[in-house]
Formats: sequence, structure tokens, C-alpha cells
Amino acid sequence: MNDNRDHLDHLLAGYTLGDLSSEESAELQQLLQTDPKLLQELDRYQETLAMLPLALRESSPAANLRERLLARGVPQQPKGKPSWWVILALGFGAAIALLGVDSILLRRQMAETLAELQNHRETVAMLRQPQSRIITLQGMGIISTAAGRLVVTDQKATVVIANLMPPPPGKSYQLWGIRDGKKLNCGKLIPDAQGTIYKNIVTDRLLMEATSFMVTLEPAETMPQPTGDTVMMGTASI
Amino acid sequence: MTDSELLLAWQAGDRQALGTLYDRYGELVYRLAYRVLQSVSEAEDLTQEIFLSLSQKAAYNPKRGKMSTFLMVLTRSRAIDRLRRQRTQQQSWQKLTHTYDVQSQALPMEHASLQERSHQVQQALQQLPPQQRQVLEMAYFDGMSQSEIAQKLATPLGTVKSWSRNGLIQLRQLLKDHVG
Repeated sequence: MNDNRDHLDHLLAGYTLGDLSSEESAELQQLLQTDPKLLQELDRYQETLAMLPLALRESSPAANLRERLLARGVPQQPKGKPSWWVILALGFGAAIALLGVDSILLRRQMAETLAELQNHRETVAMLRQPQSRIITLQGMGIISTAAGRLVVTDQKATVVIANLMPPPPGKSYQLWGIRDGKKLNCGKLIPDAQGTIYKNIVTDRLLMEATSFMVTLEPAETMPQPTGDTVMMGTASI
Repeated sequence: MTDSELLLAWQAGDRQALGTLYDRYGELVYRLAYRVLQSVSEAEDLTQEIFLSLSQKAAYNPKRGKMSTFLMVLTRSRAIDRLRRQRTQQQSWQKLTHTYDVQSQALPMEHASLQERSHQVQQALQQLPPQQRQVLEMAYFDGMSQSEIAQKLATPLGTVKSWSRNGLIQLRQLLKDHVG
């Protein structure tokens, strides 16, 4: 019993520190599925680790930092309608130029919104398929704020991740599906400047039946099997 | 007001709420940012970024833990992100030499509570074997992977993993009354 508890504590601590091997990740994944209360224990470990900064030597910010923060923290005011004399005051040419700039910005925003909408439509269509499954991905250790979802159908899988910091120099993120203990390569994940991933993966029967997913930190080249630390792990939520 | 109420108020544009959140957690966020980034200006910039970003994101879920935990995870992640970008760009760290007036703006009660909790965590850390403490600090504050730590300490990876895990398990036990 004690040995079991010690082993479990090692898995929970390893998860929090982001140093689980792929076998250990799969084992913890299994345990979390059978006993969801363990998530609370994971939170306690996260909380313990987050207490470390309290032990740091006292170093207070400059006294005027509060003032500077509040000065920057002005809530955005909704734009009011310009009054008639302001419109009159604008020269005709200047107004045309402004409209031109405005329309370029507007068109760009429209294109971005349409692209986003298309992504959402595709995701909704995937969710409507009776065989689709959703996997929740949660960051661990150094990227514990990263979070994402995978929607898997019999044709494709879509992975969306937010808050994924850039990998260390010379390293890259690689996604894996796990089925019967076998790791199936799902390709590299390259976060954009905002730390976001939106990627479609073609699924085959093997990947369609994957029970869990994970992201590992690998060398820059694509690896046939995971070699590095697991940084995200997937839990089936539906 | 609770932290969640303050957060909602700030998200609705209430600057006073932002000020109170800063009074409660500003010093802690800054302390961590400064430890990781080793630069006053970078730490100040990140501290502001963290509090301002709270107005845009409703990422904090009180059911999952305390506000301080959430802020520490967020600050550490962003600080290490900046550190990596700096390392990638091969920029030399310029430590600012000028000193600021370090008079704390935090309210006396909040400052006392912070001091008390700091003391408890310091005591707990001192009870850990030195190697366990060292590897935990290298991983947490310097953002080093276990393999990098193993290389730096010329110690097998398995030993490093075992030190850091045992250190965290023991810390969890020592601080159990303050967690959860």
C-alpha cells in the first residue's frame, strides 16, 4: 500500500515537474481516468511548487510601479461618434485617405475573421460526426499554462493549443497518439508568436483508435519514437 | 472583496480593483520575475504585463487553486519564455546597476502575511537535503530541463529526477497545512 502511494506520489511529482517518461505518462493517464479525484492531488502539487517564489530574498518593486501600472491600466473606452464639425474640419482628401487606410485594415480583419470562422465551421462539422472524440491536452512542468483540445474523427484530427511557449533552442514539440502502448507520430507542432497552434492531421484507423495523446520535447528533426520529456498529456473528455 | 470579485471588477474596467490586486500580489509577482530575469526593468515590465493581462483573460479558475498559485504559474511561464528568447538571440543580460527606492507600496497587513508565508516556505526548503533543494531551484527558477541539470551537475539523469521528485514530495508534506 505504502509502495503504491510512494509510486503514485512520484508520478504526481514527476507530472508537476514535467519529467515523466512516456511510459509513466501513460500510467498516470490511466490512473487519472479511473480516479478523477487525483486531479485535486495534482493541483496540490502544482500549488506547492508555486510556493517556491515565497522563499526568495525580499526584493520589492519600485514604489512608483503601482502608479505606472494604474496609468497603463486605463480601460478601453468605446469609440464615440465624431461630431459634425469634426467631420467638416477634415479635408476632403484627408477623409478619402483615412477611408482608404480604414478599408485596408477592415479588409484584413475581415479576411482573418473569415479564416477563423472557417476553422470554427470545420471544427463544428467534426463535432457533429457521431464517431468524433475530444481529447483535452494539459501542459506540464515548464509549460503548465499551455492547454488545448484534439478533435478526432475517422478522417482527420484537429489540434488547437494556446499558451505554448517557444521550445528551447534546437528543440521542437512533437505530437503522438498512443494506442495499445504504441506511440504514433502525429508530426511537429510549431507555435505562432501568440503561442497558438491550429493544425489538422490526417487520421488512419490506428490513430482514430488512439486512447490518449501527448506532446514531447524532441530534437529539431522529426523523431520516429519519443525520446524527450513529456510536456503535454491528453485526457479523453468525451 | 475576494480575489475573484476583484478580478471581475478589473475585467469590467475598475482600476481600483487592479490597484488592490497589485497590493496583494505585486510584490510576489515582481520577486519571481526579478529572480528569473535578473533585471529590474525586465521584471517591472513583466509585472505590469501580468496584471494588465488579467483584464483580458478569464483564465483563473478559483476551484483549481489560489490566485497566488495562478499568478506564480503565469509569471514563471512568461519569465522563462522571455529568458529563452533572450538566450536564443544571444543577448547579453544587462543588469541594471542603479537602485530604486524600494519602499514597499503593499499594505502593512498584506506585507506581514507575505513575510510570514515566506518564512514558512524558507523553513520548509531548509529541511530538504541540499541536492534536492538545488535541483528544484534550477528547474523552477532557471527553467532548466532535467537533462540540462544532469549535465551541469555531472550527475546521472535518473538521480536528478529522483532528487527533484523527492524534494517536491517532501515539500508537499512540509507545507501541507498551507496548500489546498
